[in-house]
Amino acid sequence: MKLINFITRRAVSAAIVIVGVVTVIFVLSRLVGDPISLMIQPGMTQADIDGLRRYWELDKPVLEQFGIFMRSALTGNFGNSIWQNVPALGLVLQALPATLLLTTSALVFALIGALILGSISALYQRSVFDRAIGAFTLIGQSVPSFWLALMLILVFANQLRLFPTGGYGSVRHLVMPTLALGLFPLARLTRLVRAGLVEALAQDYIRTARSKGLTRGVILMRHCLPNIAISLVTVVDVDFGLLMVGAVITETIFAWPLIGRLMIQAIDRRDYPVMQAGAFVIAISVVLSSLLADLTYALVNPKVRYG
Amino acid sequence: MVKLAAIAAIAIARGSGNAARRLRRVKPSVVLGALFLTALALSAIFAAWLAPYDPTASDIMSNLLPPLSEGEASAPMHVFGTDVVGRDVFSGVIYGSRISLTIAIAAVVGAGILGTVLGLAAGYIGGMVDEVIMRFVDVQLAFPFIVLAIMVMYIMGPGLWNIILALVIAKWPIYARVARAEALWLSKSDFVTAARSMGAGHLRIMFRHILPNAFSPLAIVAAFAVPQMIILEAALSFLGLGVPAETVSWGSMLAAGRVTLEQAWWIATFPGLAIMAAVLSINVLVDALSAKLGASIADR
Repeated sequence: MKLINFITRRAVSAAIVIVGVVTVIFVLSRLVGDPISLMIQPGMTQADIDGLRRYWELDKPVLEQFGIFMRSALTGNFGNSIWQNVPALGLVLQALPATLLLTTSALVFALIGALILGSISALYQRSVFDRAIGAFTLIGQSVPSFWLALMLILVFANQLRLFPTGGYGSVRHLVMPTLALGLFPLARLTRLVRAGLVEALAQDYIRTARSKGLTRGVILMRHCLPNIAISLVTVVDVDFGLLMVGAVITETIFAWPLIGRLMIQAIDRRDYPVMQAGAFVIAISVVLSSLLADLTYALVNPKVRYG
Repeated sequence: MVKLAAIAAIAIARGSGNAARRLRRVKPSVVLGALFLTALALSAIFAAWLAPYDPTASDIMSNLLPPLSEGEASAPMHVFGTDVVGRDVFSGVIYGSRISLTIAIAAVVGAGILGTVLGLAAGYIGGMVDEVIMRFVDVQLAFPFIVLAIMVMYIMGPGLWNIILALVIAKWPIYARVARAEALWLSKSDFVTAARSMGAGHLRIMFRHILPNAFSPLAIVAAFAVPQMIILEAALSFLGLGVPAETVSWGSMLAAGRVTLEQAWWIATFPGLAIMAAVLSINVLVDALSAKLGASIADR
């Protein structure tokens, strides 16, 4: 029952956030500029231009445009892309699978890598490994992903010719974008895993476990890792939101057809419907992922109760 | 950042009697970071004297020269090579440090002040004020800041102050969250009650009693935000939405280098290394400082 209350409350605040995002994007998109002025071609008469404006309902007062937009947005209709004249939401949803694929792939890479590196670091504190991993995480948190992307292309695509420079489709296309986007979360999560494990390893119950004769591996897997799961979930969730669109430039460099790139193009072309549909889909994903994270807390830690 | 370097320098210099012992306790990475940041700050201030060439002056006869190429006649060496129109990459990196540092520091200060004031108000006043401000924060956090910054840049056009404003708008919510959390529990503390019973006004309590106590978590968030701002500015300039086209910045150099990546690796490599070294130095220093204050980079 409490869980249902919790979900209802979260759903209401999520709805407020999504309406807020969509409103903000509506206001900002009108400020960015007039799409019709980009379509004017030599030889067009004023009547043609007015016709275009009327066709896209841009001749109405802004408030009325907002009303029309909100009413149709409620039914999931964000209108047609002004540039391509196909449903804007469809364009965004087309880009969603690839976006989720790359985001998930980068996060899984980061999470698995972090669990391995963080565990080694915590188990062999102050060893050479620990120091090397520490240096690696500091550097990893300092490399801009778009520059890393350029350097990966330079070395692995242009020089060694191991991977294609860009494009989307096969596993080979996935490797470099995953590395470029995954390095920062990998570095941050590794530090988190190490810090959490170091703290957990100093607890009394670990000494108890050790005195029972449990092996290091069992202690790590059964007694330590569950204790750091909550903070891991939080950070992975934040990173998910960041990667959904924060990867705009890296996407562009690798020529991946993702939502971020679609948004930038839409902004560049003043394509209001696509901007609005994009912001809507992104906000929904972010809100859903944080709801998922909250539910995962209860799963990994029975002490968490939603009241 | 200059301040951070100064703090580190003071930390090293303090207690001159046992300076040697203190120096040994400071990690070499921290010393390196402090030295690099000092060098960077100096190069930003004295760019005009340090740069061998005008970073915007093209010289088509000596374009795409690899690093360490001799200049024409008795001109200085092109340490980092030249770009597609013959501009000296090393001079660009030096001048770029000026742009990057100015924007990053100004944006952190601006976002810090805006977010702190709003966050303190939300936490201290509560009620509708809190509700409205925090909903704004929620909306903005569900809205990718890079898209927000890009839209603001489209609306306002390229320009130094416009980037700073875009970054402030994109990044204030984190300070608001921290300041609100601090204000929430501090406003229930005894010294606030005491101040109130002595007749202190709300503004006085917020800024003279709560703010100083909330300062160190805010300062840590701000310090970690400086490198983020450097990267964000580079990202905007990379997209051609940052500094005006005629200004040289690390991000715009990366964008130019991307086009010629196949023929000339050095154009994209050196500005990127500069960004990385700057960000790394700040991270190392802030990490060391916040370890002293008992916070971890992983929490931020």
